[in-house]
Amino acid sequence: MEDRFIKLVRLAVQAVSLVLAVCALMTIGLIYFQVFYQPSHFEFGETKQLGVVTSIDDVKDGVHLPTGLKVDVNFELVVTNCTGCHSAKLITQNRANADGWSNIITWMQETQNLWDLGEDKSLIVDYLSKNYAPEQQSRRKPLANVEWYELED
Amino acid sequence: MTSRRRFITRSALASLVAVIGTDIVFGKNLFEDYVPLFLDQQDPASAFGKVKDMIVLNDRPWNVEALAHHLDDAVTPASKMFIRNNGLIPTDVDPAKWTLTIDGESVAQSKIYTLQDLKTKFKPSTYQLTLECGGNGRGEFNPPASGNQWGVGAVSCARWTGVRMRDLLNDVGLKSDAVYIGYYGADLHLSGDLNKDSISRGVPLAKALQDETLLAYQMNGEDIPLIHGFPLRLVAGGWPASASGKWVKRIVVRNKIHDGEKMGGDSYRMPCKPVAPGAEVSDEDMCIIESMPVKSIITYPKSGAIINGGKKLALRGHAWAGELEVKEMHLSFDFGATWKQCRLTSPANRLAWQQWDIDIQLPQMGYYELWARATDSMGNAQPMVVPGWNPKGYLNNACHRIAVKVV
Repeated sequence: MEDRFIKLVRLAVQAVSLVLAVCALMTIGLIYFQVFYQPSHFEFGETKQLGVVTSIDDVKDGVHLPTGLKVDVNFELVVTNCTGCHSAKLITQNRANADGWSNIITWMQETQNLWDLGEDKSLIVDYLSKNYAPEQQSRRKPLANVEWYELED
Repeated sequence: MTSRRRFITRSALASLVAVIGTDIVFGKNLFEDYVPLFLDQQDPASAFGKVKDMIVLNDRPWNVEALAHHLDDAVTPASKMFIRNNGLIPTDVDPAKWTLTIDGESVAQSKIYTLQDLKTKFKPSTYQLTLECGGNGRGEFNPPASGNQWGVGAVSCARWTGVRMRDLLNDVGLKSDAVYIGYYGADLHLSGDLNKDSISRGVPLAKALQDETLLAYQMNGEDIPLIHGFPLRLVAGGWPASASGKWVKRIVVRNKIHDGEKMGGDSYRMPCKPVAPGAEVSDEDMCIIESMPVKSIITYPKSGAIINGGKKLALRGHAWAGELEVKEMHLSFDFGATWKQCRLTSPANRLAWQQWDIDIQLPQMGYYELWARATDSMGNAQPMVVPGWNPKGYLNNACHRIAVKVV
C-alpha cells in the first residue's frame, strides 16, 4: 500500500517535471525566435516578411530622419519595397504626379528587378504622388538660399 | 497578411512603432542578401576623399556633385570631382589580376590584355578631358524629369593618361562592318543580380578612333581613384560622361549601334525632334546624345558675395563645348540687357575646358545676378532660359549665374 503511494508520488513528480521541462524549452525557443529571428531568411509561401527597427526619436517634423522620407500613410511600404536597391534619396529628390511615379515603378519592374508589388503598387503611388508631387516652377527660378558672406581680397 | 500591414500602418501613424515592416508580395523572388537600406554610414568626404560640402544626391548608388566654387582649379583634383554611379562600386579589384578583353562580332581577333600589357606594350597618351554628366542641370526642368537632380556641378576636367583606344583596335584588327564600340565594367547591378549590367554604353567607331579617346589607367598622374573607375576607365571627352565607362573589363566591337544597358529607351537619348514640355516620346523618336553642348560656370566668387561699392570685382570660371571649342565668353550683370566680353584661354588640348576671367565694376549699391554665357566655334550660345524639355532632363546648358550684393 505504502509502495503504491510512493510510486504514485514519483509518477506525479515526473509528470510535473516533464511539463516544466517542456515549458522551459518552449520559453527558450520563444526567446531564441524573438532575438535571433531574421525575417529576410524566412519565407512563408508567396510572401516574405521584413522588419526594420526604428523609433519615435527617428521622426522630426513629420520626416523619418534615417531615410528622409515623409511619414504618411503607407510610408512603411515605401521603405520596405523601395530602399532595398536604392537610397531613399532617389525618391526624396524627385517629383512626379501619379502617372509619373507609376511609370518609374513600371520601368524598375521591367528593367531593374523590382518585384511584383501586387495591390501595394497603387498604395505606394498614392504615397509618392501625394508627398513628392511636382512644384510650380518658372523657366528659371529666382536664386534661392543664397548664403551671403563678405568677399575678401 | 493584409491585416498585419493595416496594423502597422495605423500604429506607425499613431505612435511610430518599434518595427516598421510589411509583407513583400511575391517576396520569394527576392535575392537572399536583400536588406532594407536605411542608413549609409559613410559620407563622401571620408569614404572617397571629397571636399566636405559636396552635395550627396544619392548614396545607393553613389551620386555626388560639386558646387560651382569647388571647381575653380584648371585641372580638377579627385577631391572635387563629381561621382556618378549607376551600380555598386566593385569591391574586389586586384590590378595584378585585372584583364581587358576586346571581342565582339566585328573584331578580327579577340584578345585579352593584362594591365601590365596596356602599360608597357602601348604608347601612353595624356590629355585633359572634360567629362560632364548628360543630366547635369536636370533639376531645372519642368515638368520634373526623373533621376538625380543635378545642379551645375556634375562636370570635371582632369588629366587622363592611358592607351589610345585606336591603338588597341588596331591591335585586334577591325572587320569592315565595325561601326560602334561598347564597354562592360565590373560594377554590380543595384539589385545584386549578377546577370544584369548596371550600364554598358559606348561610342561610334569614329569617336573611338579619335586621338583623345583613351583607355586610361591614370588620373592626374596617379592611379585612378576606385570611385572613378580604378584600374581602367574608358575616357571619351566632350560626350556624356556615361560614355566613359568605369572599371572596364571588356570592350566589344559591334557591327551595329551597341545595345547594352542604358543605350536605349529614354537613357542618354533626346527627342530627335523638339517636343512640348511633358510630351510622351516613343522609343523610335529618341536619338542618342553625342557631343555635349556649349556651357560655362562661374567658379569665383562663390555665389552670395558681399562687396564694397567702388571696388572692382574679378570673376573667373571655365567654359567648354563638347566636341567643339569655345570661341567667346560674356558676362552680364543686368539680366542679359548688356554683355561684356571676357578674356578666354585656349584649351590645353582638344576636348579640355577653357578658362575665362573678367573684372567688372557694378554701377551702384544693390542686388545683382551675374550671368555667364559661352559661345562655341559654330556660333551656338548658352540660352538664358532652360532649353528644350526632354523626358529624362538632359543637356540643360542654361547660363550659370551667381548672386552678389554691393553695400
